Amino acid sequence: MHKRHTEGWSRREFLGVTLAGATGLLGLRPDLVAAEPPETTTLRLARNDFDLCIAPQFVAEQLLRDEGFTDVQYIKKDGVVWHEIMLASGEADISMSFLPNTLIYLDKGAPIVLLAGGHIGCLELLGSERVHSLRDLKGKTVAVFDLQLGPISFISSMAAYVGLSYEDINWVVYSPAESMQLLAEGKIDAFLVFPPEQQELRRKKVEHVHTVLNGTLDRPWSQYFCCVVAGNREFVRKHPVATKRAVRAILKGADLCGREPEQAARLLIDKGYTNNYEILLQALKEIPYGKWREYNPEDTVRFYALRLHEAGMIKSTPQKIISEGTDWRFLNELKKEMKG
Amino acid sequence: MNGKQEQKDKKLIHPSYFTLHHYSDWLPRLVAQVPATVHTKLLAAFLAMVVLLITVGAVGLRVLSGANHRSEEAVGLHRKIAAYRQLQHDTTAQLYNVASALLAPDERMLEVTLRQLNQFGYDLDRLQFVAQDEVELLDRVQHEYAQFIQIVTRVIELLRGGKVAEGRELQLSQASPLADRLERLTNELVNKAEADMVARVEVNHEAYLTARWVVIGFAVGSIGLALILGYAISWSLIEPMKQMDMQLQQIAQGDFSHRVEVPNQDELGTLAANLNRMNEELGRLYQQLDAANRHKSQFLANMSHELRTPLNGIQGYTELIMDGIYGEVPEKIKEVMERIQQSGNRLLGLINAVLDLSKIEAGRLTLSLADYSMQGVVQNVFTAVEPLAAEKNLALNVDIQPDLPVGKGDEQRITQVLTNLVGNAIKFTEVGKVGVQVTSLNGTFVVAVSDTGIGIAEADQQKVFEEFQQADSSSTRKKGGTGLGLAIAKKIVEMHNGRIWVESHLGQGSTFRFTLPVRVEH
Repeated sequence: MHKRHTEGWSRREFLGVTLAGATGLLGLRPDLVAAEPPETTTLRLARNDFDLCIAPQFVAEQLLRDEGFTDVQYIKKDGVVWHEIMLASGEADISMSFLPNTLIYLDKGAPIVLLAGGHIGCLELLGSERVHSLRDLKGKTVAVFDLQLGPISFISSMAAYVGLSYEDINWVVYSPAESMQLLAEGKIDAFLVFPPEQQELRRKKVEHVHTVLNGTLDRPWSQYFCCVVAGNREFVRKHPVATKRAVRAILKGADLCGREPEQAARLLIDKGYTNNYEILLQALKEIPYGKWREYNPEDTVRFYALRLHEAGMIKSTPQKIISEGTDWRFLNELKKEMKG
Repeated sequence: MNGKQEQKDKKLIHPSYFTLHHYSDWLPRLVAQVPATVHTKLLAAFLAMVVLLITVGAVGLRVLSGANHRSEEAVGLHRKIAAYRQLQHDTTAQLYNVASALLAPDERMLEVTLRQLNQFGYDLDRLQFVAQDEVELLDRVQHEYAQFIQIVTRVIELLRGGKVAEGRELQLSQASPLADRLERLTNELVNKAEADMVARVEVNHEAYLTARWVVIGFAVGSIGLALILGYAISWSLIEPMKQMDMQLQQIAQGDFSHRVEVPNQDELGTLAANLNRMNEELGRLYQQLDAANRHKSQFLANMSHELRTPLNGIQGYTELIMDGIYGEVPEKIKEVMERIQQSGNRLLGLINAVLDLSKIEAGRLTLSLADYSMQGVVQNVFTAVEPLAAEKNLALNVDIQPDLPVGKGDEQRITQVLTNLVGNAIKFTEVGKVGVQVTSLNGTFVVAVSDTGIGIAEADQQKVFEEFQQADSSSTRKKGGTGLGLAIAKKIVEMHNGRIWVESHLGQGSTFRFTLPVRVEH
């Protein structure tokens, strides 16, 4: 069955399945379908080349159309532009985002609001033979591709959890490809990888490189979301129905990725997001999608805000960020409506 | 009279100086206008400062109390975090113990695990006292834990009953997710407590900043208010006193033309009003006295003139008799006539002196200003008095600074002053010498007339410049003189804007000095 789906389904067939999922498989009740239409039929979501971990929002394209959005746009800009930047500027309305980044932006007063949890532990910290635990990062060289946002925020929060500060680590800037090469050569000590890089690297079985921390499996990181669903504050304020519908579609996408990774992978291949089906499927299977009902996004925000605060990367208290930067109303309603 | 004129000039130059109009600070004026006694005002200021001190103290106490309260809260939060962390740690340990025990079931181990699992419930109960604000979350933890115990107990029962597969299935499907959820709940407890602590630290920091500014604000405000009060009250007292002091100085100098105007409605206001009344009364009396003096001077001037006319007649006829115009005068009569002539001359001198003094006091004597040679003045005086000195075998020394500048003044009156001084010196010196010294310094002539005579007691040194006064009244009889010469000399010198004074010790001679501007312009 799975094989047939992943290899033989056409796009039309898949859309049929997603529609069926909308009424049955994913728990969507008919009364919700007939609910109030969205205030806008246009929805803009942010995307980058490398962000396959947020597959649910790409998988959800048809689901979004089903929710009444006739014009669904995935905004991609030249180079790497963090989703938070697009959300804050209003170039994107709703999107999944990397939580530590989003918290840093919220601390700066960006008009972003967190709406729901996404998935758990899509990242992995790879280390050389000199690094076997987070404590070993002290005085070591860690590669990141941005000194302000992205991996650096996550690694800083992880380091803060074991009592290391930002200054305890020597940060160097390299692209992921360069970092992998340098790590294999022993010229750097660690770097953080995202899907599908980690799956690709695992297949290559690079010598002298091992996993220091796996976000999916290792506590406490595996107990918190790493990516969340966020929205532009003004969009959310003006379009509550559209927001709820968009969040619902993305969460359904997450359910789909969790329950039917083959279908999801096929769709992403069809859509041209990537061309390596095996790697993509492996990534979708490894990432625990569909935990959004079970895990507590507010506690996730609290946890990361505490770590970033300890690391000195944000000044706001967790309470302030939660009170000013989150809105769980839609999630709470959807949890009731979409029983798992 | 001259002093009064000077004060009038001064008043013209600084018309506002003697009023409170220059006293432009509104606050002292406002305090001054408060209708209360000085005592009440000082008491009110003191009380205000006491209230400020009490306020600063109260604010400080409140800040300290707040800090103490916050530190107690922080301690409570610390205790809560520690308790939650312990719970988190114990929960994790328990879950691993359970997992290990179920992995390799052994009756003893299963029994121990079950017992420890049940005992762990007591730890949860202990948390109630530190987590009163998270009752709901704790209830959930307790509920989940109770469920977990139930399921693990059931799993153990299945394992004991040999239903290993069923037991494993129950463990995987229910116990493991429940354990995972339990772990996340305890994590949430810890995160919440830590977030509370971060928020508390933030609140404490903000409270500290606020408290700091409040204390600084109150302290600065109190100091400022104390300074303002001190300034306002002190100046509301000092300024009127300064004005009254000024007024008293004016009165002492014979100027009654000003009033003290203070806005005070306290004792100082009353004092100022009394001072003004006294000033008016004294001014009125002074005017009366002035008028009487003027009348006296006028009378003396008239009398002198009237006396001089017949006296000139007497002197003229006496001289005619002495010259034998009316025939030969017997020697016996001649001697009498000479005495008449001498007495007449003395009387004429006295009348002239009284006339001069009267003119000066009546303001009718004017100086005839013209260029003169001080050396010439001294020479003329020397020529006039040299015979008198010679008569008494006194040395008469003159010391004049070479190249004295040409002076401008009333030469005749200056000659009169110097003649008087040198004449007096010769008159009151029996043995020794009389000296005249003239120097010029910074546009001023300094003339000194010294003698080796009887000297003047210190107590009499001012008196000699008053009308009809001599150091020793007996000397008037003994040495002659009217007692007007020095008074006239003083007034002439002062009319030239100069100054005259005496330096003397009884029995050690005297030195009279006077200064004159080289060029007197008016």
